[in-house]
Amino acid sequence: MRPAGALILAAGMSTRMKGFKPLLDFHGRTMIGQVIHNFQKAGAAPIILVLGYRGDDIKDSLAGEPVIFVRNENYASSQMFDSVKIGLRKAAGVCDRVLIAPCDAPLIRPEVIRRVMESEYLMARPSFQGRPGHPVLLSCSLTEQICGYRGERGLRGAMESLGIPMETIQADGPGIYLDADTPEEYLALKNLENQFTNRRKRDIVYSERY
Amino acid sequence: MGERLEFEHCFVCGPKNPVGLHLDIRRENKRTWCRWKAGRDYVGYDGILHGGVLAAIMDDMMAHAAYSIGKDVATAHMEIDFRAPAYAGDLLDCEGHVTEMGQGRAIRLEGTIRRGETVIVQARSVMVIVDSSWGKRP
Repeated sequence: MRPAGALILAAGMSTRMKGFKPLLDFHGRTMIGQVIHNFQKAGAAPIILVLGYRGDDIKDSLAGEPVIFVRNENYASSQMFDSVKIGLRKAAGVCDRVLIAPCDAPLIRPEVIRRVMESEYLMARPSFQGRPGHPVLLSCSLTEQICGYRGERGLRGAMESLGIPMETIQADGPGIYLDADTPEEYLALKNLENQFTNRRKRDIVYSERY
Repeated sequence: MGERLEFEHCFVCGPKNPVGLHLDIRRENKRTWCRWKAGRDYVGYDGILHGGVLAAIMDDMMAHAAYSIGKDVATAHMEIDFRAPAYAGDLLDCEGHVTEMGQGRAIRLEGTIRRGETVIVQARSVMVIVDSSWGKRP
């Protein structure tokens, strides 16, 4: 499998969440720690993190982790796609391909990340029941074309405007598009993770019984 | 291929079991299907098919879905919803399929029995991959 870096977007201000999303607890890790763990487990390297609001707090929480930090200084007035462009330009200097995901999607499993990484296309993304999600795989050779997009539909609009075939990878669960913008969504994510963990534990018990 | 657990005297699908249900189960790539006419000897209440017979059919349909990918399995967990009664003489469409290869040796499966458009039974199970030495009487 060809290697790919990971670009994690963590510049936002968590305006709809009562707490600061990247540093909320997620089953013993921070939310962003879990996302980075998933990409590391899938074999993505290097990990590039776009920081903005409370960037130093995130950096401190990841002390010792092999992560490249870049900053979106205009995080308060810019869109997520601006962070994508900043991160992509950094990625183009350190890897050939990059997987892009937000920092509040801890249910993107290593298995689906690996399957997206196996794509030989210049662009790929997972989909579950017809709904696309993350991570998006991009060849860094497309950086200037993506960054030159002037439309209003963000990364998705930029990718679709290129007219280049994009592979769709069928995911086996909704974790690819579930994120935590509100306290209710955050609780729902934690509950889903509990169910997933309990299923895994039961599977092991069943296997041992037989 | 080595020795397999699938058995010609199986109560549900075995052609050599004189008191069996004799389901002719077709299978391909993690899916199974068959059509079966419910005999009057398999009732619980008067004229109503016994739920245990329907459960046995679901169990077999799902196990065959695992056989279709070359796996012998034992049922570790099964849950079942009886949605509508089935009657002696009904022509029932049965299906099973693998939904997920779980952790370790576990496989998750689902199955359904219908009479026309009416859902009679829905079942879910976890089956565990075993080898042909499994289950020998001690």
